[in-house]
Amino acid sequence: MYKILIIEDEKLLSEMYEEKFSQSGFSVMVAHSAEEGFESLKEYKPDLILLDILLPQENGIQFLKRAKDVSEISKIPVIVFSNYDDPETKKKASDLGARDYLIKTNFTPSEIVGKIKDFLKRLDTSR
Amino acid sequence: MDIKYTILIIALLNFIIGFSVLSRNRKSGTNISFALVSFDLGLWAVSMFFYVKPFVFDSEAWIKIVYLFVIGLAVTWTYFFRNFLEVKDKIAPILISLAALIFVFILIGTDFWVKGVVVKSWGPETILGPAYALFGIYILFAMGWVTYIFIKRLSQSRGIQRMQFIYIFVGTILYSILATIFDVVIPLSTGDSRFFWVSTYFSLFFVVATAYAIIRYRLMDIRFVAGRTFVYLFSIISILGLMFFLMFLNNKLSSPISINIFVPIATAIGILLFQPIFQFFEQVASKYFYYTFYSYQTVLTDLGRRLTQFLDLDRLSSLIVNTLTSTMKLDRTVILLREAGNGDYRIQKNVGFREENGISLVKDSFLTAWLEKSQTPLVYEELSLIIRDTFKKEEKESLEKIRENMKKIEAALCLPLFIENRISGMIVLGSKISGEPYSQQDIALLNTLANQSSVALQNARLYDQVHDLSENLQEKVDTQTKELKQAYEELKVLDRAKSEFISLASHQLRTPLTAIRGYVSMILEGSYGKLSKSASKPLNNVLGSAERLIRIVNDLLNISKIELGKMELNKALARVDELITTCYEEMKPTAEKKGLEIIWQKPKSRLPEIEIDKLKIGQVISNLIDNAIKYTQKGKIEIKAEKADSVILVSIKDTGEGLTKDEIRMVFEGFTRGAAGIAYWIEGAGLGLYIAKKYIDLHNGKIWVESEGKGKGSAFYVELAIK
Repeated sequence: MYKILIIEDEKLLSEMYEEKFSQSGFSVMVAHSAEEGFESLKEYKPDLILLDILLPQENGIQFLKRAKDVSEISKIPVIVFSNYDDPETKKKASDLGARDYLIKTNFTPSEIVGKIKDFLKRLDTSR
Repeated sequence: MDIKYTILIIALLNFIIGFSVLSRNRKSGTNISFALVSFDLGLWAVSMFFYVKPFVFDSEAWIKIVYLFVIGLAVTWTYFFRNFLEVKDKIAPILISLAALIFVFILIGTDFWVKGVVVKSWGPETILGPAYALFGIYILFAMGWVTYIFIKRLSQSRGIQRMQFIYIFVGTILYSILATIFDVVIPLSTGDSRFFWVSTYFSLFFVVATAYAIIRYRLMDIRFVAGRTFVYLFSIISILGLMFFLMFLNNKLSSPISINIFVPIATAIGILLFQPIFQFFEQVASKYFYYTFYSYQTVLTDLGRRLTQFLDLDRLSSLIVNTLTSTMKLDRTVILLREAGNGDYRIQKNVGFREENGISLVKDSFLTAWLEKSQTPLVYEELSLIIRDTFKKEEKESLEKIRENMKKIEAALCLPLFIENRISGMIVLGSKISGEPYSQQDIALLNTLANQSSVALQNARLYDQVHDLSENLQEKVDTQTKELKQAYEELKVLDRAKSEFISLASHQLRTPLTAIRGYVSMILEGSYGKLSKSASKPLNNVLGSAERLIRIVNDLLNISKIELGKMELNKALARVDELITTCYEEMKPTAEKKGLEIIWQKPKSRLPEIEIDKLKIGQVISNLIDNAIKYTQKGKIEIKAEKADSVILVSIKDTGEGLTKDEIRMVFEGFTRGAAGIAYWIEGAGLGLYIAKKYIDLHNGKIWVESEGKGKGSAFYVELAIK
């Protein structure tokens, strides 16, 4: 069973994704801000982090920057999923180690789950 | 030396004056008749001299010649006064002339006039007959007529003309009376004609009076006449002196050349030397006495030619001022020009005047109005006469002021410049350096120069105005271009704001759309329990609508990115035919579901790899195929890709609705055409084609559409360079 951390401030969306990922057999933890995410990462060790960009206070890019400096966290792959579709932000995220940048609105929750599953499977096989 | 030799000097003076006046203006009746009077007086004096000192003929023949010229004098004088006083009367002169002919006949053909000459110890004495008394009456008649027309004209004249008339008349009458006393009264009453010759001297009264009238009131330019006289006199004396000197030398050397050969040689030398000697004296006179021997015609022609050489106002003004000062030999000159708008004067070119003085004459509008009315130059020397003849008190006072001012600033003449009878400017002239007053000739020349100058100055001013206008226009164009640029920059900022707004708004739209799409899809997937069939159909519709809305938002976001210049290409080597295959596979089911035939005609040989943004070109192709399917109800869609020269050409042809010419024109346009445009695209083809064009543009490629018209299908083409 894969463990994921979803950092998403929009309650409506976080609930939706939590629901879908749980139904699909994931162990899910949800954080509503970058700070909250860091808090939960102290004990919770997910296989993957799904990170939104537009977050209150610290945004996704700042989260990525902070995460880079914490060796334990930096090992965890991050996939950005956001509706904020800006080339510069995309490039920054990629430079800071994000594995992918998904536009939420372009995919249904099950499509996202499918993509994450594929990614984790590939990760497993490459290990 | 006998006193009677001085008669010859009187004769010479008369000749020179007559000749000078004639050479001044050979067409003027006044000048011609005056010259005739002078010549007559000169010849009279000469024959009088030979009467007292007989030469070739005897004294009796000479006295008859003397009387011939006396008769001639009556005739020439009549004509002179007729011309000078501008009298139309023809009868009296004809009568006088006819009577003169009769007297000539009596004088030559009979001895009723001259009976004979007796030579006495003091000289010849003429015995006169009865016809002489008749001649006396005739002379009185002629004088009476002259006096009559003179008095008649005097009452009509004023100003300087009046003064001229008076002087000349007084001179004439004095001369006539004295001559009559010595030539008629004394001989007839005493029978003693020994003082005949004395009357020759009285011709000087006429000469002096005329000269004074001329000097004071510039009748016929005595200054010029005097100058000429000087030049001729000295030239002749020099030549004669030289000839006598040569003769003296010849005699001293005991006549090596015989007199018969010597005289013609000396004459030839004299003739050859005359011209250079004459010119030399002319230069001397010009240099030391400021005599202005300008040729009216030369000055005019010269200035006229040079005035047309340039259009520069400053250079023109300098030329005019220089011409005036050098021709007239003036101490100062200023050109004042009036501004087109308010009619104020400004100094255009000034030589010699103090700035504030130059303009002081036109401080009030009186002088302008006065010159506009009189249409003639205002001469300082004539002002007192003009003032005397002016009756309006205000006018008199103003003229008085002008006279005082002219005196103060040492201005001698105001020359108005006219354009269509209105004063466009004024040339104020100082005095001649020689102190000589302005002559009639000068005034005539100045008038003509003023006419020429005002036209040239006007042209230059018009040219300047046009020049200024074009400069102003340039300036205006520059300012407006600047303003437009600024407006454009502002618009650009606005445009950016618009794009940023769209971008932001789109992000905000996406979040609820994500929720709608996500939840509905999950409901449909059964995440929340099994779904009844009746509920799944409307829910699918909701999903479709949400997806459509998402596509629109995506398009808007892409456009805003393009317009903000944020769209970047992720180029990599790729094969276009492979991209098409992927798109074809994706779209094929949709087409077939609609009952359309869709053909992908792969190129015979593999296409070369080219550097492109795979994602974006793929998006363009699938957009084109998607449109073809959307707008084709039956028939087929044909996709082709081929290599042509240095490009890859992709074509997507359908048998669908086709496009009108207008649609062809605007099919790739964005929503720049306002709300209607947005409606057209959102309801119609979507913004896909606009984005497609932008993507192809970013690749430096071409995209276009061909259609025969509505209902005849369409063909979209994409051309990408191979490099």
